[in-house]
Amino acid sequence: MDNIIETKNLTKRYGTNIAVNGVSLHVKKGGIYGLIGKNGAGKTTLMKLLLGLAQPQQGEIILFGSSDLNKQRIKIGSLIEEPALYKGDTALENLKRFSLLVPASDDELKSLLELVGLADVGNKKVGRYSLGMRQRLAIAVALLGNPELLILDEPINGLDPTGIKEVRDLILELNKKGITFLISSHLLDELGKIATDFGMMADGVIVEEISAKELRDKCRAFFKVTTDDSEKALGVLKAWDPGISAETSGNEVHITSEINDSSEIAAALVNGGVRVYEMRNESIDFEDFFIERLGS
Amino acid sequence: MSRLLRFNFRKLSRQKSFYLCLGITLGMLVLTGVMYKMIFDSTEAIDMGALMSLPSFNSVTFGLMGMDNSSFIMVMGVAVALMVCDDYEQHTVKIIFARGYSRLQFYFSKLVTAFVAITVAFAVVEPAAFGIGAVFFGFGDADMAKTFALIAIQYVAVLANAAFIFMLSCIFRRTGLSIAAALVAPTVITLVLQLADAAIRSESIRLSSFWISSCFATLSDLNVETYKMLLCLGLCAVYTAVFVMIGALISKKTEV
Ligand SMILES: Nc1ncnc2c1ncn2[C@@H]1O[C@H](COP(=O)(O)OP(=O)(O)O)[C@@H](O)[C@H]1O
Ligand SMILES: [Mg+2]
Repeated sequence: MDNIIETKNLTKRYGTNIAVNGVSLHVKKGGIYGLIGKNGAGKTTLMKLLLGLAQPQQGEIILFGSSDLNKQRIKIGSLIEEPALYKGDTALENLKRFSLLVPASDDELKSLLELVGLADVGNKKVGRYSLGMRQRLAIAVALLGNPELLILDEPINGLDPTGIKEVRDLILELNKKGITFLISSHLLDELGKIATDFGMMADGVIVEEISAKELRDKCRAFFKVTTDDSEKALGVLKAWDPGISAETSGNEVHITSEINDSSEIAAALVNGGVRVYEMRNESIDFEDFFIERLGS
Repeated sequence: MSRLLRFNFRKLSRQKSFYLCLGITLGMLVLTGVMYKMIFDSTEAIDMGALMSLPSFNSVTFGLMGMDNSSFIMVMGVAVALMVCDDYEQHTVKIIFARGYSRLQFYFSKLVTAFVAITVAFAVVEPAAFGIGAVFFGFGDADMAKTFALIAIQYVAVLANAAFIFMLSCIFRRTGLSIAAALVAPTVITLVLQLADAAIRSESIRLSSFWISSCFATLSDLNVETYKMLLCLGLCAVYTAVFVMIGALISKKTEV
């Protein structure tokens, strides 16, 4: 079983508005899948469908390789929209109560509170917590019963930079322990940077699924050399290193293979009788890549 | 299901509003006792004629009137509404559904919890009503079998009312709205039925007598005819079943 979540042609309409439109999603085990899209793209609705909070009109969901969804869902921790907690109770009472639904021992509850940095809050009621604290407690609730998958809907929304860093570090730490993540986020916020895979969503449609590695390749930095004669320069470089990958573009040569020492390139070109005007690193912007697909 | 029940019972045992509602009910009962006692005493001193129109009070008559007199129905309606709406309002129902518990499992676990809560409240308030009656008006004697039968049917009527409020709360899912509905709906329904009665002007059929509120009045009277008792029992049993079923159908489709 490679995909921990798979959907086929999943569709959810609200009246005439199609929130999720024929989505086929593939979330690999062990990764951090970033569902990226603007407000109203359908990210929350898609997650609700996966969790059974809303019912699709069409399509199929497979969780952990099974279509017996409710049976699999006990293994999924989630945080959808705002943190769902009993505000009149303490953090520990919240965890205790939910641990009747998703079994966990008292020791596990204590260590969960420690993990999310809420071990010292004492008897303070959750209603008096800051948003960041509530967010972390909600993540602790999501972690009850050692889930294999966490589905987090914009988990850093509304957090300050310290809070964002805390949540991001927590996600990385848990991912190292083998928990798979599906995280939705706005265009390129802090979480975009830790994803191993991306699903780009716009108007209810997954426009593209791409791994972080493929994305890096596409946005790969290249080394730009501006010369008086780019065709000649390319010939010189190929003769100098037959394995080099490079192409011409006007009077420039773009080298995409890795370069350890740019002075050697300069020396080879000069020795080959090519004039070198400028040499520098260039890249296609990460951000441009998303904006192109999702709209600005 | 057993996990959900334990979850809901833990919640109920910590739901302050439930204890508060129970306290209010008992308070109302004492106040009613005091009020009747005062009217009773002053009337006795002033006007023997007026006394004749008052029912003769003792522990049994007062106990049977307990449900009608203590605002039990209204206050416990509020407690049920709070119980049902809390998980929707705090969005915690998302966690329950997202972990694979079905809508119907959740619905029936809540229903059982609410019925148990109502049963506990009934088991506290009904004896209290007899006790308060005994303190203020003495024991008196009565047909014990009939008294117990009336109490048992009152219990079914209490469940019917709880199922009604439970269903409304499943529809509204907002505490404020559901409480308003719990307070207003029984009155509105009685009113509508009375208007209907006025419109059809039938001698034999009184629609308003078929509603739960009217059953409480019927069941408060020790001299009520047996067929009326049985009618109330049948009506309330049917009401309970119907409201529970409608509530389940509505809950089955909820999206959160
Ligand atoms: N319960 C609902 N009823 C009606 N429309 C909804 C509902 N939930 C979401 N929508 C609509 O579906 C679309 C997608 O919303 P959502 O999934 O919340 O997007 P995102 O999470 O990406 O911001 C929006 O147009 C939104 O208005
Ligand atoms: Mg959203």
